[in-house]
Amino acid sequence: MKTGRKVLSAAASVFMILLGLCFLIPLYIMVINSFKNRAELYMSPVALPTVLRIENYAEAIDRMNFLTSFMNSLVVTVSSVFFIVLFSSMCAWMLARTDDRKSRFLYFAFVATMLIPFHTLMMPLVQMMKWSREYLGIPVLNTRYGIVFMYIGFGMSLAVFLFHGFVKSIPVSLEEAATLDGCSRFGVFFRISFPIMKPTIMTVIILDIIWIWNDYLLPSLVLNGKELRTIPLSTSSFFGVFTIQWNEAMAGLTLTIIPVVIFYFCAQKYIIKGVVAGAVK
Amino acid sequence: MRKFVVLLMCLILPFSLFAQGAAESGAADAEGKVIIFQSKVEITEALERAAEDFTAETGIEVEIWETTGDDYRAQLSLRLAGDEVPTIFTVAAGSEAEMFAPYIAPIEDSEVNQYISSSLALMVNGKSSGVPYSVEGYGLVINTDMVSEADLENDETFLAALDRLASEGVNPFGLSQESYFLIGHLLNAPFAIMDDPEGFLADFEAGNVHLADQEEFQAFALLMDKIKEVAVNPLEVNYDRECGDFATGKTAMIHQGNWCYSMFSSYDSDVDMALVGVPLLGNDRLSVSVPYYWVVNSQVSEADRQASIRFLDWLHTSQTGMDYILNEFLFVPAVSNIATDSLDPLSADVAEAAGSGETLIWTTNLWPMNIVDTDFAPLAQEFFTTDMTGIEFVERIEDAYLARL
Amino acid sequence: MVTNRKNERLIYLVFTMPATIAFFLVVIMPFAIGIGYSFVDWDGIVLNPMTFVGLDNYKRIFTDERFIASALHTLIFTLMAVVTINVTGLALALLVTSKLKGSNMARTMFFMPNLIGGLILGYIWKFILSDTFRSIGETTGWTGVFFNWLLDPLFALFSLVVVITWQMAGYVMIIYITGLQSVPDDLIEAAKIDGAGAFTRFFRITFPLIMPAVTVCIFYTLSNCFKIYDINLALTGGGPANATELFAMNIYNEIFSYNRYGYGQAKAIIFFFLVAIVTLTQVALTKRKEVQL
Repeated sequence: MKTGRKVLSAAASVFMILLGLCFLIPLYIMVINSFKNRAELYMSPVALPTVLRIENYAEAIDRMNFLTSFMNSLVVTVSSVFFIVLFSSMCAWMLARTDDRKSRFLYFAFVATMLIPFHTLMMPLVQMMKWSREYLGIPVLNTRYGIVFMYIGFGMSLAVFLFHGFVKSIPVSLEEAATLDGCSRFGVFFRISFPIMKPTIMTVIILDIIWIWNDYLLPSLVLNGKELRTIPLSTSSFFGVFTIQWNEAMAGLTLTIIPVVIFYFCAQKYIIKGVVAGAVK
Repeated sequence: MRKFVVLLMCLILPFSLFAQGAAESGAADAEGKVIIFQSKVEITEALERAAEDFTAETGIEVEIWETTGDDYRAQLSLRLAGDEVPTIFTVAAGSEAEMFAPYIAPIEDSEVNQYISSSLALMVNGKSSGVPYSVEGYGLVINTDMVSEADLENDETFLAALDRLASEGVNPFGLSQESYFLIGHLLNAPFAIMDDPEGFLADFEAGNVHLADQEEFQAFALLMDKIKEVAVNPLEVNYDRECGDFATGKTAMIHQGNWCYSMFSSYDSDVDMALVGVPLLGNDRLSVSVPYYWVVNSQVSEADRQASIRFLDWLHTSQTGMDYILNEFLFVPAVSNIATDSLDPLSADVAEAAGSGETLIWTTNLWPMNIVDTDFAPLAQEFFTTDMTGIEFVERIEDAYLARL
Repeated sequence: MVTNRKNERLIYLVFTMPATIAFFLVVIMPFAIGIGYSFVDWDGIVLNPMTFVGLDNYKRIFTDERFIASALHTLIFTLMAVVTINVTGLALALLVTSKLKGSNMARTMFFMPNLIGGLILGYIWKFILSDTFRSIGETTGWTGVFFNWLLDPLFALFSLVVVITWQMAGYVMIIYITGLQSVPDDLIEAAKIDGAGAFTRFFRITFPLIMPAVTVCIFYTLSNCFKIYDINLALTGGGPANATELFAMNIYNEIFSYNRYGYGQAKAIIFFFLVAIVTLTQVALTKRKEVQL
C-alpha cells in the first residue's frame, strides 16, 4: 500500500516535470536559435546548433546598447512597480473598507477601464504630452518620470482589482482591534493590512514586472532618446519590414528574459508561504 | 540586512528618475538640431555612425529614432502629433506623400536637389520635396542554370517552363507569405505593363474599364492559376525560406527584388542569378523606382530645417556621406552625383535597367494607401487556400480596389 | 466631531487620490478625447482636416461586414480561450500545490512562457504550427492532426487559443495558487476524516473557497482575450483571408492602415461597451458565488 502510493506519486512527479518541459519548448527554440547563423536557422530551426556562435550575443549586446537599456528598463520597471503597489494597495484598501457610493463608483471605473484597447489611447496620449509641456510647462516626452507616471496610471486597474478582491477576504476584526488599541488609519494600513496582503503584493509585482519589462508600445511613444531606451525598444532594430534577424533577435531576447527569470526564482518562495492563513490564525 | 538593501533600492531608484529629468532639458541652440525617423532598420546602425561623423564635422546634434519596420507609418503619424517631432522622416511617393503633404517642406534650396533627376523627384505642391533614398527594382530572380532566355520569351513558353521545372522536382516559382512578396509586387506587373499605366488607373478608378477585360490581367490570371497548380503554396513559405530555397537550388526563380541579395550571403551559394522582368505579354522590363524619400519636416523651426537640409546635403554630396550610402547602407544610389561601380549582381541589373530607362513604374504607390496589406493580401490568402480561379481573383481585386475609393 | 469627519475625509483622499489622479490623467482623459474623435472624419494626421460627422461613424459599424465577422471570431476565440486557460491554470495550480516532489521546479517551468512577450511567442509558435506540424504530418502520415494549422480558417483560430493558453495558463496559475493557499488545511483534513473523496473535497470545499480567485482569473483572462493583439499579429496576422482578424486588430487596421481614425475610434468605443457589459456581468455573477470564511 505504502510503496504503491510512493510509485504513484513518483509517476505524478515525472508527469509534472515532463509537462513542465513541454511548456519550455518555445524558450528552448529561442535559446538554440540564438547560437545559429542564418543558413543554419533556415536548414532546421529545431536542430541543435553545430557551433555555439557566441558572437550573436556580442553583436546583440553591442547593437542593443545592452547595459544602458538594461539600466533604463530596471529603473523604469522597479519605480513603476513600487508606486503601483503602494498607491493601488492604499486605494483598494480604502475603497474596500468604505462602502459608499463614491467608493463603489471609483472601483467600477478602475475595473471597467481595464477593457480599453491601448491602440485607441495612443494618439490622445501623444497629444496630451505635447499640451503638458506647452500649457503646463511640464515635459513628459523623453523623461523617465513621465513614463513611470503613465505606467502607474495604466497599472492601477488590474492592481486595484486584485487588491480589492483580497482585502474583502481579510476579516475586519484585526483592524478593529488595532484601532481600539489607538492605531491611526495609516498605522492600521501599514502595520496590519499591508503585511497581510503579501501574497497579492507578490502577484501584482510579478505580473507588473513582466508587463513593464516586455512592453514596447508605451515606451515607443514616450522614450525616443537613445540614452533612455528600454530593452524592448532597443531590440526593435532586429525587426525589419519583412526580415527579422532571428539569430541576433533571439540572442537579444534571451538576454532580456534572464533578469526576469532570476527575479522569478528569487520571489517564488514568498508566494508559496501561506501568509494569510498565518496572520488570521 | 536584505530588507535594508531592498528598502534602499526602492528609495533610490525613484529618485534617479528625477535626477535625469533635469539633465535632459538642454535646449536646442541656434545651430538647430536634426532628428531622423526612418523605417529601414537594416541601416540604422550605419546611419548612427554617419550621424556621429556629421556631428563631429559640423557640431550639429543628430538624434536617430528607432522603430520596428512594420509599424513605421503608424508611429510616424503619432510622432508628428507629438511634443518633439522628427525633422527628417521618410515617405513613399504617391498616396503616402499626399497624406503627409502638410508636413513636407520643399528642398529646392538644398545642394543635393540639382542631382535629383526630374523623373525621380518627389513633387509636393509643385515643388521638389524629397531626396530619393535609393533605387530598388523587382522582378524575377532566376537561377540561370535552370531558366533560359527562351523560357522568358512569352506567356506560353513561360508557363510551359514552369510545368517543366515542376516535373524536374524543383519549385518552379517562389513567392512568400508577406503581403508585398505574396501579391503586392507581382500585381504591379499587369498594371505597369499597360501603355499608359497612370491613364489606365484613372480610367479604372472612374469605373470605365474592368480589369478582367484587359489582356494584361488575363495573362496575369493564367500565371496565378499556374502558380497555384505547380508551385509550392506561398503561404507555407516565409521570406527567409523563399530566399534560402533559391540559394540552395530548390527553387528555380523567385519574385523578389535586388534587396534580397543580402539574404544569400550566409549560404555560400554558387547559384548564378539574374533579375529579369515578369514575362507577361512578353514583358522584359523590371519594376524600378524609389522606395522612399527623405523629406524635411515643414513644421519645425527654421534652424532645425536648415540643419536637416545640411545633413541631407552632407550625406549625398560629401565624400564621407557618399561612402556611407554606397558601402554601408548598400544602396543603389538614386542621385546622379554618386557613381556606382561595386554593385552586387542583382543591384547591377537594377542600375543598368534604371540607366537605360526601360523600366516599369511602381503603380503600388498610386493604389489606395496600404491596400496591399488590408485587402489584397487577405484576398491572395483566399486564392491560395480555396478553389478560386485566377480570373475570379482579378475580379475580387477590382471590387476591393473600388471599395476603397 | 466635525474635525474628525473632516479628518476622515482627508485620510480617504490621501489613500485614494494618488491612484485616482494618475489613472484619471493617463486612462480616463485620453479615453474621453478618443470618444470625441469618434464623431469626426479624420485620417489621423494632425494637420489634415477633420470634419464633424455626428453619429455617422457609429451607424456605419452595423453594416460593416468585416467588423461583424471579426466580432464573431473574437467571441468564439474568447469563449474557448477563457475556458482552456482557466481549466489548465487551475489544474496546474492544483498539481504544483499537491506537495509532489519537484513541484517548485514545475511551477517555474509552467510560468516561464510568460516571460517572453506575445510577439515573439507568436513568431515561435507560428513556426511550430506551420513548418513543424507539416513536416511531422508528412513523416508520420497523420495528416488529420498534423498539417499547417495556420492555413485553415478554423484551425488558425484554434492555434490562437492554444498559444494564448500556453502563455496565460502560468499567469492564472499564480493567482490560483494564492487562492488555494488561503484554503485552511484543517477544513480539508476534516472533510477527509468525514470520508469525502478527492472530487467531493475539491468541488464542495476548495472550489467555493477559491471563488475570489476564480472571479479575478476569469475577469482577467476575459479582458485580455478580448483585447488580444500581439499574438494575433505575430501568429496569424489576421489570416487566412481575415478569418482570424480579432477586434483589436480590426481596430488597429482601421486607424493605422485604412487611416480612418474617427471610424476606428467609434469601433473601439462600441467594443469597449460590449466587452464591459460581458465582463462586468461575469464579475457580478461569480462574485455572488463567493463565500465568506
